[in-house]
Order: sequence, then structure tokens, then C-alpha cells
Amino acid sequence: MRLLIVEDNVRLAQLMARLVGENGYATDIAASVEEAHAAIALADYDVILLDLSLPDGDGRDVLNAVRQRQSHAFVIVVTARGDVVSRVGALNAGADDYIVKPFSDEELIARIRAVRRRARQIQDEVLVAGNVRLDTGSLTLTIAGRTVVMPRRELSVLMALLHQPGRVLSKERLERAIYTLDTEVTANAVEAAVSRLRRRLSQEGASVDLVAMRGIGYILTERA
Amino acid sequence: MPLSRLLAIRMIAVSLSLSLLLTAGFFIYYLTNTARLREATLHRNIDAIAAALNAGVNPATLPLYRNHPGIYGFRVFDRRALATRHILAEAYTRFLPPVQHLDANAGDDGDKDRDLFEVGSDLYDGFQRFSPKGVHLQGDHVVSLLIHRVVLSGHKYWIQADMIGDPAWIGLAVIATQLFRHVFFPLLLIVPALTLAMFVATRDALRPLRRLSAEANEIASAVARGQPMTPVSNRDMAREFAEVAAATNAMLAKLENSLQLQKQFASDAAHELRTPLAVLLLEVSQLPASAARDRIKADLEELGSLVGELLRFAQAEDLLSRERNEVDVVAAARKVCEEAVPQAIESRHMIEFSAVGEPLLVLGNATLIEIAIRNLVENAIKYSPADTTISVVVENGPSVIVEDQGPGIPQAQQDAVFDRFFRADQRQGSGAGVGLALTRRIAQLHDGQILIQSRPRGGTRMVLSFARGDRRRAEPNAGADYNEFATSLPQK
Repeated sequence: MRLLIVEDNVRLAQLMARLVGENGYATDIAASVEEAHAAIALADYDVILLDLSLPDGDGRDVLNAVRQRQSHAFVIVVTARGDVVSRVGALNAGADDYIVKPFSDEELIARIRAVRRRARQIQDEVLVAGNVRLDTGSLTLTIAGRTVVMPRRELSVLMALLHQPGRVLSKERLERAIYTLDTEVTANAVEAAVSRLRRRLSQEGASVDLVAMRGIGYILTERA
Repeated sequence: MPLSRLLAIRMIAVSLSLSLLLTAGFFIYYLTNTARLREATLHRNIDAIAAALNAGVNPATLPLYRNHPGIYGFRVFDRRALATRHILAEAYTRFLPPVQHLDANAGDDGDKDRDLFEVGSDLYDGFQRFSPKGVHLQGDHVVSLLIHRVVLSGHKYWIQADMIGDPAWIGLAVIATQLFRHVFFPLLLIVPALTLAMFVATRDALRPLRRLSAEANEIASAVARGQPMTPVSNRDMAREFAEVAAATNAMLAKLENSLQLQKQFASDAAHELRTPLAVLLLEVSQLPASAARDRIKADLEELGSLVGELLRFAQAEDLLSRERNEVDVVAAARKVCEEAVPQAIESRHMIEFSAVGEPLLVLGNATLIEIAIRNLVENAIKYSPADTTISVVVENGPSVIVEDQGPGIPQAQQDAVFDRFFRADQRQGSGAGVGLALTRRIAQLHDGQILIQSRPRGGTRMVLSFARGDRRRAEPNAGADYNEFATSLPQK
């Protein structure tokens, strides 16, 4: 896996390189637009971390060049220009994600993983949270290594939640998730399914909690 | 007080003191000039006698002559011929020159009185003062005598009037009459007219100044809403006011310029801080794991978020002027709550959200509105104890109400929490002091406000309210105006 860091601050570039290197990437550093153009011409990168404000020009040129080369590289814009307009601009220009300086090591690694996972998810059918594992192809659920048989409604709720790790799912979204599998939806179908699912999860010793936030939705959290 | 009224009042005051001065002048004139006063007094007495005769009253019965015998006297007679002179009325005629032939009518009295006058003294029309020989007089020591011809019902009559001193103070009435006739009456006519003229003239002349101040007020409220300053107009203005307008515009230009510089500086400073902070943060993560490392990391992350808030604070106006459209506050609040859930779970808090069914629209910037709500929610999470619930309610207004079960904010600090860099607990290291200030700024930019309501059973209730979206129209030309403004004014 190759990763390119386009960053004019040498120390920051080296620190980022060491950090991602520890996580299994072979890393190159480009300190200017020119160097970045040269690097993407020479090698095929999986991930590019791109600073937008560079000494010899705008990082968006690099982004355009990457997209024009039909490269499959994931581009994460890394910048001090943290205002929302430039964030939207960068995403519109074809960046896959956006990270604002300063960021912690965990955050950087998490963003790189998230971008790669998002791309992988299309073929990768196994959803994991804590010790809960769901194969979306065969609809087999394992909790703590044991296969668990769960009613379809609860399973579809769990699947919808597993698709959005660490994020809230509104009641409406869950309703739609159930509806695609079951035709009859009663007023409190979601609440009922959620409470049954929660009971089952704790019975089976799952290391995840299903938290309900009133008026907002549901979230699956891994127990620490 | 308006200048026109001030001037009118001053005008009245000046005329009042003027009339006081004139009054004093009259008094001094008459009191140092007794002869003139006596003459005027006798004229008045003669007028009173004529009026009494006209009314068919015997003047001798007037109180003046009844109450002061030996002081005031008069005689009315016709004068067709010496021999046929006929006296109509008289009172105390001792010092009056005789009017009838002595031999014909006068008795002993006449002889005696006759001696008082110089030989040959006779009737004459006019005023004179004389000291009768051999008679001691009280008061003036002088007899003042006036002889005057009057016309009563078509006939001519002569009236003699005299006085020795003025114990009845008739002179005062004379002075008062003179004062009224020559001073107060003209003043009464002139002063109100002049005052009115001055009032109207100043009010008209000052109209441009009022327009200037109205425009300055508009600019102030526009700036509070984050709109650019527009120059004041100097159309149809007298030169003095046009100069004021020009000076105001020059000042506005400088102010706008320095505001821009300040914002640019804050923005640049925040940007410049971010890269070194990123270096520091990654550098620290390379250190071997320890409690100290984690603390430093947490502090650095805190510093990073403070820098972000400063940046947003500096950019809020620009963001609003770049993008302003109808924003659904319900959707914005819901989104903020959804995004805050992971953080809430991490700190063992629950979040509750409820809202009216339909969208509540506000004309503004969605990002800013979300930031404002997020700051409230994050603040609530930060300052309330674990295992409590934070409730977010969107009501008609539209307003967003964020309630927590934390310690609450003491009454004395409720204004201060909106100041930049205020922190409720000075000893506690966490929490950047810009969030609530930014929330208030964003509320102001949207014609809204934020207030803290104290709750009887503790906790904090923050109410963030906005002006309804349909009330004010978007101003697409605001930016263009601003550019013209910036280029049309000289920058020194």
C-alpha cells in the first residue's frame, strides 16, 4: 500500500509519514505542487494526504490532476483552512474526506481506514462491531464466536445499525430498514424490535450496547 | 432636547430678561424724573375724570378725591367766555388757578386763594409745578398742576387737576400702563412670532443632521447583523452637513478597513497556529504512553478546538455574507443532536430531542446556525454530570432550547458567560471560552438572541431564538455595495 503526503511543513510531513508507516503504508513526501505532480506521475498511490495551501500553488491542482489520471487513489484533504466553504469546495472537487489541522494520530489513522473501508464495503459483506459479526450475504450472525439465530426484524435493525458504526440512525431510517424486509409496520414496530434486539444482545453476551436517544434515534456503541 | 426647542426657550429667556431690563429702566426713569411722572399721573387723573363725566358720575365722588382730601384736586369748567364760565365739578381747588371773575362770584375764600398765585397768572394749557408762597406743603413741597382740554359729548371742557405728593400710588399704575403699552405689548407680539420662526427655521435647517443620525443608526444595526457598512448620503445638504457626512464616511471607511484587518489577522493567526499544533500533537503521540502524554494530548486537542472556534468567530460575518438562504432550524438542531450522540455516549449522557412537526425557516447561514446550536449542546454535555439527560427542544419562534441538569449558572455570571474567554470554573482546565460568545454573535447576525433562564430546580436552560425567515428579505446586493464603498473612499 502506497501513500503520498503532500505537505510543505517538513516536520509535520515526517511525523505523518512515520505514523502511517507504523500502520503499514509505504510513504512518499511531496513538499510542493510540483513535487506532488511528479510523484503521482511516477507511482500509483492508494491514499493521498493533501495540504491545500502549498508554497507554489493550490493543492486543488493536485486533486484535479489525480482525478484526470483516472487514478483510484483516495484523497484526504489535510488543511489549516478549516472554514466550511473550503471544505465543501474540496469535497466537490473530488476529495474523499477532509481533515482539519491539528489532528491526533488516532484521528488521522481512523480517517484513512474509514475512507478505505467505505470503498471496500461494496464487496465486503461482513459487518463487525465489538464481538458482533454479521455476514450480510448469508445473513449469519455470530456473537462472541457463537452463531446466533435471530428473527428477521431484529436482524434487519441490527444490520442497519452495523452499516453506520458510531453514528445515530433515526427512527425513520430504521422503520424503512424493517419495511424492506417485512411488509407490515405498526406504530411501535421499531421500539418493539429494538427492545427485543437489545435483550437478545445482552443475553448472548455481546460487547455492544444499543442506546436510544429520545427524539433522535438509535446508536450501537462498543463497550469499552 | 432638540436644538429648535432649545433655541426657542433661549429666545423666550432672552426676551424675558430684556423686558425685565426695560422695566427697571422705566422705573429708574420715572423715579428720577418726578415731574414727568406727575404730569403723566395728572393726565391719567384727567382721563379718569372725563370717563366719570361721560358715565354721568360726579368725579368728586371718586375714591381718589374722597380718600385723599387736600392732596388731589380738580376742577372741570367750560370756557366759552370768562363771564359765563360754568364749573361742572370740582374737588379741593385750593391750589387751582381761579377761573371766574373774582368780583362777580368769589367770596372771601377767593380773595385768600388769589394771593397764592402770581399776579397775571391765568389759564394756560399745560403742566407746571410751583411752590405756593407762604404755604407749607407735605410730601413734594410742590404743587403739580395740569390743565387740559377735553371733549365731552361734543362740547369742549377744561379740566384742571393738581396733586401734592402721591399717597395713592397712582404713579405706579401710570408706570405699569406705560410699561405695558411700550414694552410688554410689543414684546408679546414680536417674541412668539420670532420664536416660532426660529423654531421652524432651525428644525428645517437641522433636518439633514437628523437624517445623518438615522443613517448612522441604520449602519450600527447593519453592522450588528454582520452586514457591511454603507456610506451615509450627503445629497441635498448644506456644506456644513455635507462635511460632517464626508467625515463620517471617511471614519466609516477606516473603521471598516481596520475591522477587516482585525478579522483577517484573527483568521491568519488561527491558520498559522494550526500547523505547529498539528506537529506538536503528532510529536507528542510518538512519546511512550503515559498519563502525562495523554494529558498533554488532551490539552493540545483543546487548544486546537479553541483555534477553530476563534477562526469561526472571525469568519462568521463573511460566511453569512457569502451564503444566506432559508434554513430549517428543526433540521439543523436534529442534525446537531445526531452528531453529538457519540460524544454524549462517551461521557455517559443522554440526549433528548423534540420539535414541532413542520420546518421552521430562518433566513441565514445553515453552517452558522448549526455551530450556534452545537456550542450549546456541547456546553451542556461538558458541564453536566454523567448519567444525566440533555434536552433539546425546537419551538415556534423559532427558538432552540437546550436544557441540562448541571450545576446551573449563577445569576451574577449569566451575562459574563457570553464574553469571550469566560470560563465558569476558573480552576477547571477544560472548555474553550469562545463557544457561547460565538453563539451569541451568530444569534445577533440572525436578528436573534440568546438568553439564560434560571430553573427552580437547578440546571441551565439556554434559549436561542431567531427572527422568522419570511420577515426580512435577502440582500443579494449587500456585497456589491460594500465593494463600491471600499473603492470609492480614499484609504489613508
